[in-house]
Amino acid sequence: MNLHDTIAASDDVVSREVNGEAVLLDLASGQYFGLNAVGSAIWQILGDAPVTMAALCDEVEAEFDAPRDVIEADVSELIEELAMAGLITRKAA
Amino acid sequence: MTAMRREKPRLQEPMGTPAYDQWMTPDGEAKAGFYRTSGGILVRFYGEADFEISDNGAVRCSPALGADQSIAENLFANAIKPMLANYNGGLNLHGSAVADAQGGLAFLGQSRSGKTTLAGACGGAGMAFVTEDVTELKQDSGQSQRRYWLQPKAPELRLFADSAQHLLGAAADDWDEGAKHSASLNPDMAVQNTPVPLRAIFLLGDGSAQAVQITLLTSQNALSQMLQHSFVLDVEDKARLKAHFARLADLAMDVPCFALDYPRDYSALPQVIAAVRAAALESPVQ
Repeated sequence: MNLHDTIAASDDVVSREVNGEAVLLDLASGQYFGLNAVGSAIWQILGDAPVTMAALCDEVEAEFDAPRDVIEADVSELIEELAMAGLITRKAA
Repeated sequence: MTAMRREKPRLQEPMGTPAYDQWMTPDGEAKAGFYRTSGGILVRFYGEADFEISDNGAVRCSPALGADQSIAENLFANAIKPMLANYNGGLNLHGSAVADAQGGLAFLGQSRSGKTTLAGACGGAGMAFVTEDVTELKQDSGQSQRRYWLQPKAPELRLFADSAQHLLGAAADDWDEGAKHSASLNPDMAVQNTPVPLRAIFLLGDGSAQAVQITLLTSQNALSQMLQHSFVLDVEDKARLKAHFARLADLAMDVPCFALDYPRDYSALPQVIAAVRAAALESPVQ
């Protein structure tokens, strides 16, 4: 994953925070997904506006106490999962 | 209030365009298709009736040729009206409800999951019958803590023959076993005539449990399960769907929701009712 790639939440997804965790509904497929607290924080950032991977990692780093390399690996893994599920779009740098 | 204009029965000609949404039965068969027309939306219940819903909300119904004429009225009351109500900001779910002094209990589930039979059995066990098949909720608006009020509906059960015989002693020997029929409640069953606050929601499983199983769901799980039991007219109207999703999320956070499964055996119903009432009483008021 390139840190300069731009990530955006899909227009086909509606989400709602339920007791601190996000529940996503993909309107295109009718499937729903649950995110844990970290995933929910990332989704909230994505929901505001498209963001680069680097900026996304910056925001996560500011919020969670973890080494940068761990954050980049974890964010990258989640973004891959969200992309596979069709919940985000990616624009290569 | 939504009214329906009834047209003459007609042949269900092919629509010419693909459905943008379908309702499927638990067996995987298409029950209804949703089509866009020049004037709005046509909901076709295959072999039963077409409902044309205009952009201004007017509803015209054309029963299918050869279909039982009472089906159209039932489909209007139990599918079209709740869909239109949700489209306009309401909260209607596919389920039945009963009440006692502690509040109302709603049973949500797929078709043929036993919602009505359980509600009828609760009625026979001293609880008051509130509604069947469609559970309409209205939210408190003037309180700091949101509350949901179950809206009572006409005291009638729509049951398959075996359930009617078990619950009501109804003479159902000549009923078509594959179809639901309307049956009046026994006169000794209590009926809730006024709105009652919702105490808990139970989401019915598929009956594979060997014994009564009740599990308190997280709000996230409750929301994802309730989505399957709501009435949505236009799955492509993102703004309305988002608002509906938000209303369901509030409900999932505000009201305790349980997964409920039990063997579909009439003799198990007293035990199910006792377990359901106990779970509702012990559940945290959220």
